[in-house]
Amino acid sequence: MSIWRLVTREIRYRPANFCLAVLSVSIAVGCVVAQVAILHSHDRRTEELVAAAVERTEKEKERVEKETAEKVKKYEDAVRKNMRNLGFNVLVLSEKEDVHRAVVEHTFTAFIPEEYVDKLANSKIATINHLLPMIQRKMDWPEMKDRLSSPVIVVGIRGEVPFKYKNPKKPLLQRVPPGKMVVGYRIHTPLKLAEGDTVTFMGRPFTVHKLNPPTDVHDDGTIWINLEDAQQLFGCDGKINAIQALECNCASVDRLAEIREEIAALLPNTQVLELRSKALARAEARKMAKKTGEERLRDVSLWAENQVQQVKDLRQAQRDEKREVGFWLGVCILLGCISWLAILTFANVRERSLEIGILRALGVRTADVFWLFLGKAALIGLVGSLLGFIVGTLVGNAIGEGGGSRLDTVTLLSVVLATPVICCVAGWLPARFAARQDPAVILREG
Amino acid sequence: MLEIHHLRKCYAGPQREIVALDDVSLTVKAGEFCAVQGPSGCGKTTLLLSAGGLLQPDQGEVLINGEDVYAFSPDKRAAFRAANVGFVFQQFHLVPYLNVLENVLASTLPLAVPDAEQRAMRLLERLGLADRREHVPAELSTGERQRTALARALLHEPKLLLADEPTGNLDADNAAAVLGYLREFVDHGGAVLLVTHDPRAAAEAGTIIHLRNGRIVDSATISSTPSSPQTSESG
Repeated sequence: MSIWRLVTREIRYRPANFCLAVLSVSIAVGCVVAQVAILHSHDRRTEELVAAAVERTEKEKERVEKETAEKVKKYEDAVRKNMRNLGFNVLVLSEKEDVHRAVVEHTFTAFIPEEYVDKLANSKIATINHLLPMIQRKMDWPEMKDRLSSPVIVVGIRGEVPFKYKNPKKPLLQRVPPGKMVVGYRIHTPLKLAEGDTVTFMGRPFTVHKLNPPTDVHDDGTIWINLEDAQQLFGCDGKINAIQALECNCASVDRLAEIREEIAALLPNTQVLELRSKALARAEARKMAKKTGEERLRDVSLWAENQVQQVKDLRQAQRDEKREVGFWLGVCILLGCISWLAILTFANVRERSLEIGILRALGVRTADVFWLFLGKAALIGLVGSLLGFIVGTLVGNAIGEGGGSRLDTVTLLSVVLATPVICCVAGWLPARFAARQDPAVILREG
Repeated sequence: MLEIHHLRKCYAGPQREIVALDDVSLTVKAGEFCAVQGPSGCGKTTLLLSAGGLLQPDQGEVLINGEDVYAFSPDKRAAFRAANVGFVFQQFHLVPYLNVLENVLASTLPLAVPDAEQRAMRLLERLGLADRREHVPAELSTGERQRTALARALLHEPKLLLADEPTGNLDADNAAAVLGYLREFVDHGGAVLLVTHDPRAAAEAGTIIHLRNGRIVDSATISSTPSSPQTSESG
């Protein structure tokens, strides 16, 4: 005979008490397990949704990448085709001119006769559409030196010179009237100039004719005056530094050579430079297109990350809500279960008091009586946890999002180990009460 | 075997203390059958429970086999009781969900008894319960229940048997059978302290003690057969 045999026999004899207790434990465990199963199915569904979002956004990224690459290619192609038909700009200089200094430092030192521009205008040269004679210096503005942080580029122009044998075209550049000055943005801003103001340049008064807006090029640091004014200021009457020939059209592949040949025939002792190469323009166009494409891709990547993050955030918020509700529900059910189990155990103790008296009379120790009830509580916990696990898993998977059952061994082990302990805690006081009953009182009254 | 010296036990009453036992002394030797008689409420059951180590007296001592049972700790006293004392009650006090064999074996819970099951079966055969061993108490007659209780008390071969009205609920035949088994136990060297109202049971005893208001008022030793008793007064 053993305590365990007494426990099992008593359960068979009074099944209602045992079944009610197991039922309450099963419900409590079932709720907890269902909650865990719901959270697991939530996690599985989240993984699926995130994977789907990642796949969707990756596809979109691929599509945009492909589309952008095609667009850039098309754009480049279009630029290439368009530029093939576009004119280009050249600069006619004295052959003595330091080209590097002229192009990089924007200052010229050598002169060509001003009549050269008239020669070109009166010629039947076919490759040039616009002519702009000019004088250019980079220098400090003597009167404004203290207020300007860098030198200014002074350009003397006389506007566009019309061709004698060509139909007049819309001028690319307007002339500056004598005694007037057009001022670049980086100069007029610190000087706080306004149109109509009078300024002194190299000891001579000039009226501010126009203030240019910012242009992002070296023009911002330039002042334009009339060519004759410039010739007088710099002491070079009848001379110019260069002629800008714009929108040159050539039939051959080597356009620059063609122009050089034509100009050299007309203007001795000169050299011809291409102002901005077609390759450079095309590279810039390609760069712009690539930059636009990269920005688009970056936007798409950000959008993709946001899409995935939004899914994750939303799912996490839902999970937190479910977990919180489940936690408090679990706590309430657990407390209810413990109370109910304690009441049932206590009722069982009262019902079995005579039996306790008999066993004590037979010499059974108080500890054995204690374990008689605690053993039953542990058995209730074990059976209840197994039943609760099965029911909770089924219910959790049925009402969860993921669908499909999955054996959660960690949860199974946890509930199988923890529930008997919790049931023992619930049965502790009644079992202690049982063990401490006075057998003499029971037997005398029984 | 059993020595009780100046035993006093009081219960708290609603107004004043109720004296259940007052200066009770008695001795039951091995092979002696002692019956305690008295009216209801005279302290018989209190005497029996105190003698069995279940009810701590307020004064006096209880020696079983020369050992003061109330000098032991509760657990040691329980073990001592399991090894040396057997109880039989008027209400049988069988465990309702155990069958006859299991009820008999219940006395082995605190005590390892070698070949307990074989010994239990032999006892049941001797008490005429072998064919009822699978039955639960509710399926037994009163006589069978009492014999089961007796078998449970005898399984571990105690030296002292304490019986509280064992024949109180039995018919004449069953009562005679139970008394016969008690006599047999005494004949084999055991000591029996029997609390009873039943004159038939008292007639089996070698010593009869009369209790009244918690005090021994009369003690008679019967030297020969129950039908021709010789009594002697004692203090």
